[in-house]
Amino acid sequence: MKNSYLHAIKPCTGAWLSLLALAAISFQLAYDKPGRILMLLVLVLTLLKGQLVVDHFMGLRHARPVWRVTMSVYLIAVGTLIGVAYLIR
Amino acid sequence: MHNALTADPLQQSRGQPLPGDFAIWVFIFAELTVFGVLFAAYAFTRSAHVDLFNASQLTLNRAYGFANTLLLLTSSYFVARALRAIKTGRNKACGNWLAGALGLGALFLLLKLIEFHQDFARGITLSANLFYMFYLSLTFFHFMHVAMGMIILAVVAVKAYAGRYTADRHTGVETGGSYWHMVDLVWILLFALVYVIH
Amino acid sequence: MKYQSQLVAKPYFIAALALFFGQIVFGLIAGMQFLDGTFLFSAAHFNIVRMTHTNLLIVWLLMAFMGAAYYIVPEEAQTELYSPKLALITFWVFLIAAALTVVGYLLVPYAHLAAITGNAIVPTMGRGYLEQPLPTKIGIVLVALSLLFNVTMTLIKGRKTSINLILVGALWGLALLFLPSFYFPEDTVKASYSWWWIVHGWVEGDWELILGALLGFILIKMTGVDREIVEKWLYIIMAMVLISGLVGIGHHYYYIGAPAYWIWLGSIFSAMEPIPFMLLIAFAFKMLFQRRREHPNKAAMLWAMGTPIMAFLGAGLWGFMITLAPAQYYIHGTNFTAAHGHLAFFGAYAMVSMAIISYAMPMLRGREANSVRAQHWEIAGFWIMVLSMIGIALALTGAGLVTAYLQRSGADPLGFMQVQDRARVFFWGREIAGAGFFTGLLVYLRSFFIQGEYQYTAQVKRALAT
Repeated sequence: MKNSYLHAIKPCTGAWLSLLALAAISFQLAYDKPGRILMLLVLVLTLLKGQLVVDHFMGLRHARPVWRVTMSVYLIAVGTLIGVAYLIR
Repeated sequence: MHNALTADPLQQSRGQPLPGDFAIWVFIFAELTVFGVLFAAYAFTRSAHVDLFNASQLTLNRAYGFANTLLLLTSSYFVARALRAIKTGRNKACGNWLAGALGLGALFLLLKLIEFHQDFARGITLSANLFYMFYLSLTFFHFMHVAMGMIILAVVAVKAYAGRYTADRHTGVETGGSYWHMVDLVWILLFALVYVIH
Repeated sequence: MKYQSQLVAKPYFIAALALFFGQIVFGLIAGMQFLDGTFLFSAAHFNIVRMTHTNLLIVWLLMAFMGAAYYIVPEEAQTELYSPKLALITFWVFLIAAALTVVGYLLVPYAHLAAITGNAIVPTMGRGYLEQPLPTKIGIVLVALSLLFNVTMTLIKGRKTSINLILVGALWGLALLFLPSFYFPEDTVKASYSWWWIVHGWVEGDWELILGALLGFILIKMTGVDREIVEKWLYIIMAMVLISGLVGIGHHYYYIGAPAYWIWLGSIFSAMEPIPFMLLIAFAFKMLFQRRREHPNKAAMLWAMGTPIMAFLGAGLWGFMITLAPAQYYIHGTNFTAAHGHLAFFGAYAMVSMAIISYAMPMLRGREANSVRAQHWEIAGFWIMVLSMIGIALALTGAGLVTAYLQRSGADPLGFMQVQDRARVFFWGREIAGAGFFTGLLVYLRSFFIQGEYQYTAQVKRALAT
């Protein structure tokens, strides 16, 4: 039991630390000059953060794959809409 | 059944239904749809007023947004830890993690209120321009969700301290937690959209 | 029926259906006046007929809601009603006040009515749906207070289920939201604000909660599904109603002189208002599929299943089509709005009223369900009314589009009366569908006069024989 408990903690803590790091990167990028590459980079980082929350905090990586896929589709759909809106001028 | 209990909870749990009550997930998906529409509306409106949005965005204090991101991410982590705690039957630890998450949520609200106060003092209102209209209404709408999530978490925390959950029966923790993670997820998108991407 | 005091619901339901009948008659007259402007010219002017049509609608729905409250609250609280006598007195006061008001509309010129009922003291008359004279408005408040006192006291002494809490809470909301009707400032913007607080607050907020509670009660009773499941769905639907509906009020603020941000907030949030109706459909059918019993009252089940679907069509879909600011710019106030109004009021509130009446009336008359023959009549009435109402909505939608194209968006717009002539075919369609609706109503009402109860043994024998 002890072993499985530790096993369960690690990915969660790892996800948390990764999320903090990704947030810090995004924050740093906020001060850069506007540009399409930058925009796409931040967008991808954001979707990555979202997926981390979905997988590790919400715990959907243990749920039936359909739910995790649903959430990924949502994130990608919102990301695509935002991306398209920023690319058209 | 006996097997399932002794096996690694992570290994045997693959292919489970959604954590918590299914009803909360109906609500979560509905809420995500609402926020999705709001985000798309923001993005497409911006594409018609790029300069206005970029200029106005620079006037925001991004440090607040960043600090609030850290707060929500960490409180979401605490909630995940609370769930882990109850899965090993530790009620008090579960309650403590939830109390910690609530404290961070309260800090989020406080920071946001300070930020709103400074915005209003600078003359930023719904009528100021389109960017501020979106910024204020999106963040305020999310603000209300944080408050709502905190009410749910508080109920769960009280129940956890009262010993109402066990290692086998803790749907309430999963239900409240799932909603809180949704609030976190939305903020991640919101922070990127309103404070960062330009 | 478990408690004797639930019987007070019966006169409310009967009066509701009688007023419903009156509403349809006036609807037919108003529809006729679209085709022949001189129809009943000296006897009943169009503005009076229209006003009576809409006012009767509100009153019969309130009657049905009140009857439903007097029926549901004791059963859910598992105790007798606090004061059945008060409920009965309230009924007669309400009915007589409503009748006097209608008689006043028909016999006295409106301006004169305003003068003799003290409109000069507190000006309240003249706004759509709120045309009632001051004494009637005060009467409505007193009736509501009496109802609230009665059901709240019943709730306090009895079991507090979620259905009861939502229902009684929503009834409080209904009463409180009526209070802006006493605020009618000269400033037209402020007057519009307060008018929409009532109209929007009722039909796109509070009443949806009543609808949810009534439907939840019927489904618990008829499907035998666990109360907890029904309650969870109700809370979620309630939350979505509030999330979308509160800020969604902005879709009434577009071009009335309100700040411009309402164009955005109103468009975005009101566009979500169909979501709770979609959830309502999912909820109703989930309960149907998970049912643990076959209730003999098939007609009530049909009403209960039909309500969320028609509500979604009328309130959700038709509402969505006109809610976005650019769309409303062209079609606001045309017959498209009337199409939405007809389909939404019927699909959501008239149908849920008939659902609870269909479920409760047999109980109030001492049987679990009506005879199969009576149910066949009722079901026939259901389909004729539903299909006719869809016909009315489609015809009015056509008429609205004619106005939008010829009078509002073209390079060379036509005048109002010319456009009305072009839309004539749709007005005919509406009137014919309206006659169909009236027929459906007669068929529906006929079902109440067929005696006898549901015969279990006969039905089982028939089922085995086939």
